[in-house]
Formats: sequence, structure tokens, C-alpha cells
Amino acid sequence: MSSITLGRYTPRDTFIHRLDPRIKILSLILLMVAIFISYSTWEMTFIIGGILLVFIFLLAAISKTSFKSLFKSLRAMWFLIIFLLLINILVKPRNAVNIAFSIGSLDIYWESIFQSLKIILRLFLMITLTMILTTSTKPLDLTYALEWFMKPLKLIRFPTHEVAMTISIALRFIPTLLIEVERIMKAQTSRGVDFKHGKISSRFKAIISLIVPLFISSFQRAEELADSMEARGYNPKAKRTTYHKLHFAWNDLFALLLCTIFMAATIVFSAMDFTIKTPLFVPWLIIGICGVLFYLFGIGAENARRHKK
Amino acid sequence: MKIIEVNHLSYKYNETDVAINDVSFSIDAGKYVAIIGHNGSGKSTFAKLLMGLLEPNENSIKEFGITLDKKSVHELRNRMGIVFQNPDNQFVGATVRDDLAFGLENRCIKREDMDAIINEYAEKVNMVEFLDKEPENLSGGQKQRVAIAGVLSMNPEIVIFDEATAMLDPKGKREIRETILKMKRENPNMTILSITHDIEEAYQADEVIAFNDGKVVFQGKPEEVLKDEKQLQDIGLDIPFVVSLRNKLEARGIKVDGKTVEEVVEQL
Repeated sequence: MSSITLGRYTPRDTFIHRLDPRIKILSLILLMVAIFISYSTWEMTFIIGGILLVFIFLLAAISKTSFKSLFKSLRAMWFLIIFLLLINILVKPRNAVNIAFSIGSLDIYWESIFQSLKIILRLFLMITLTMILTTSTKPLDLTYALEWFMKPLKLIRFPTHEVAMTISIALRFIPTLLIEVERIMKAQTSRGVDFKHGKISSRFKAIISLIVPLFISSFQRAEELADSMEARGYNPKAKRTTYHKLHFAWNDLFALLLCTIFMAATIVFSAMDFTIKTPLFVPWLIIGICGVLFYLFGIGAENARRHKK
Repeated sequence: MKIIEVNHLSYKYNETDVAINDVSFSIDAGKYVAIIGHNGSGKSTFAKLLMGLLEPNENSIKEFGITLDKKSVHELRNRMGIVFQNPDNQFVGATVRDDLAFGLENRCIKREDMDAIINEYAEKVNMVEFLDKEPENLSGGQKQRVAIAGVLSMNPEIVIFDEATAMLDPKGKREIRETILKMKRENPNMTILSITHDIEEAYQADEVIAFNDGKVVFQGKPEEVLKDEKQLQDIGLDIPFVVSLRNKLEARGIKVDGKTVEEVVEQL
């Protein structure tokens, strides 16, 4: 169950929680691009990587995402990390020249280590960003944001409303079905089914005894839900009003601008081929000021709200 | 005024499974009608037919004087509401507030008016403090109350309860029964159809209709139809406790006419 609770929405009242979900998704995309920009030198890669790391940690701090769960997600990736390290060490990079050390006849290059570190850093940043998004945004708000983004698809008769409704119902029923899973597991355990021990083949058979009743009851639920929605006048093709309104405010503009600047800066650095030899204070200054501003702003907004109360 | 007229209604799920078999009767406006019958007697199918969720045979159902068919079904549905048995499977929204809004959205109520309506009806079923709760944090009775509020917020003229208390614990059952009675007091013109196993509940109704094997066995005032023990047992039901108490007292020559156990005790 712990893997399911990872990155779950936690209701809090922070600057990031209050942002428009559309802006949060856009910002996520912008920052993802910033993460995946590559540079010609390792120094630059890690400097920018470090700045992004600090910035994203700041975001996590502002949104009060628990750092413990962030590192838990890193721990869940241990297999991937070891796999990446092994592959990168065994396969010699094209331009590898600096040998770090040798094990017997196998030369380990600095480039291999850097390469795997880079990938791990990127993965970690990506996961952290996504977790900030999901812990600070209600799943339903994300659905509304997605529906908004899909609006242009209406022109080609794509059923945007139906898709959004389907997603929101799926989200609504996840806890209900989890409770159901628990109930069926208990019922089957009491009939002698063992889910936790035994050979893989017998455990697989045990899982079937869980899945079949779950499927049957889900279909029953779906049918009843459809009846009840229809009885309450739901007609996907008819005109409906919407209770939820997404509000775009000045703080959203601020967040969007900041992330755009961030992305633009990384692209510029990459394109202009900044190296460690170029005066570094320019990128440092821009990014540093952005980060500090954002942080101060977050704290300031927090304090202002507390004072109001 | 006859609000529901059923005329030679039949329905079968497939060739062998006949759920409703040539049923005819009518229900007066403003009545609280209990529909009883054992499992598989066709009463739930009947509820779905009334709501137009299943397609009845032609010209067999008239509601508000309008024949139920493909054209009129949406209009008729707008004037009716139904509360189903399973509290989870009729909760559409992520929170109580969203669920109440769902019905209003379907009716194209203006966004500005929604909050007032949601608060008003949440108040009526005592759910205001739970407005922002998710369904998994509510009890079955609370979820059913939300479902009732959702139905009431659309101002229906007919409300159907399809075994709405069957899956609840005794406390939840009591809550829902009280809510229904309160609702009836506040809207005396509303017609209530309660499909139920609960013979005690049926005894509180204005009228009782009993289903057995897809047919209506009898229809009448509860005092009249719920005293024949043999007849009720034939269709798989018991007589209410008060009635059996009164019958036994009568056998000993004591005549009382209380409608509840408390009243009988009072008279004794």
C-alpha cells in the first residue's frame, strides 16, 4: 500500500497548492525541458543540475512535500540505479578518455560514472517534480486542467468531456476498489488462499482468486453507477454547466514566468555553449535571483496569510 | 389524480427470465407507497422501468399523464428521482459537494446559484459539516443521505427508494427512515415509492403494493393487506410485529388498534 500513498495529494494551504492546476502542469513541462537540456561539458551539466536540484528542493519545501517520501522514491529506484551504473561502466562511452581506476583488465572511466550520475540526477529531479505536482494538486483539479488542455481537440470531435468524466470517476473509485480488494483478500484468506507465501505459480493462482471477483463486482458497480448517473439526468451529449471554475490569477502568471525564464535560460546556456571558463556569474546570478525571489515570495505569501488569520 | 398509471406492463431480461408479467395498477399523487416482495419478485426491475432505465413495452407506463417512451424519457426523468441500494455506487463526485453539484450540472443550473442550493439541501439531510469529505470517509447512512439530498435538490415530484436502507446498519436505517419521513412532511405533495424488504417500514406507508413472481398480488391500505399472515407467508414475507402482536391479543379477546408497538402498549 505504501507505494500507492507515495505522492498522494496532501491538503495544505501553500503558494503552490493555490496555483491554478493548468499552470502547474505547464510549469512541470517547462521544468522537465530544463532538466533534459544537455551541455557540452560535465562541469556545466552538474552546475545546472545542482541549481535545478536546489530550485526543485525549494519548490518541495514551499509546497511542504515531505522530504522523507522523496527519498523513499529514490530508495524504490535502487535497482534501476545499480543497473544504470553497471551498464554505463561496462559499455565504454565514445569519448571516454579519463580512466578513474581499473579492476583487473577492466578500465572504469570517469565519463561512465558521470553519465550514470547524470541520468540518476535527471530521474530524481523528474520524480521530485511530479511528486510536488501530485501532492499539491487534487486529482480532480488535474482532471479539470487536462480537460481544459484538451479543449482544442473538440474541433476534431474528440470526446474531451467524456474522457475527463471517465478519469474523474476512475479517481473517485480507486479508494472504494482498494477497500474491496482488502475485503476480497480477507474473504479468500479465510477460505485458505495464501497470498503471501509459496511458489510464484501458486501465488499467481492466488491472485486470480482475487482478480476474478474484483472484476465481477467492478462491472456490477459500473452498471449501477451508470444507472444512477442516468437517473440523475446525466447526458454526456447534452449541454451541462460546470461547478468547478479554474481561476488564473497574478500569482499563476508569476509562477509561469519564472519557469519560462528558467527553461529559456537553460536553453540559452546550452545553445551558447557556456563552459566553466566563461564568466559564470551571469547564469548563477539569473538563476540564483530567481530561486531566492521564489523562495522569499513563498515565505512572504505564507506569512501574509498567517497574519490575515 | 393518478400520477403513475401502469397498463399491461411486461418486461423480460431474456426469453426465460420474465421479470414483470402483465401488471396493471395506478398510484395516486402525494401518496407514500411501499412496494414489497421477496428477492427476485420484480420490484427493482419495476423501479428501473419507471425511471426509463429499462425500456418498457409500448404504452404501458404513463407518468404525469404522459406516456413514457424514448422521446419523453428525459423530460419525465427530470421530474423524478431515485435512490438506489448501494451507497457507494451512486456517489459520482469526489466529495459530497461535488456529488451534489453533479445533478445540478446536469440540469444546467447556473454556477452562481449552485452553492446556495448545495448548502440548502445538505442542511436538509444534516450533512453540511461533511460537504468537503470524500465518500470513503463517510458511513453508508451518510452516503445515502447525500444521495437523498442529490435527488431532492432537483425538486422531483416522484421519489423512488429502491431498497435504500437494505445495505445499512440499524443506525443508518433509522437515519434514512427519519429523513424520508421528514421529507414527506416538508413536501406533502411529493409521491414516494419505497421498494423495501422491511415490512415494518411498509406498515408506516399510505398504501402497500405486493409483488410476487413479476405480478402484483395485492394493493391496499397497510392495515387491510398486512394482517393476513398466510397470504404474506405465501409470497415469502412476514407480517409486521405490531400486527402479529395485535392478532395474538385479539385471540385472547383483547381488542387494540395501535399502529406502533408504543401505541399498543399505551392502550394496554
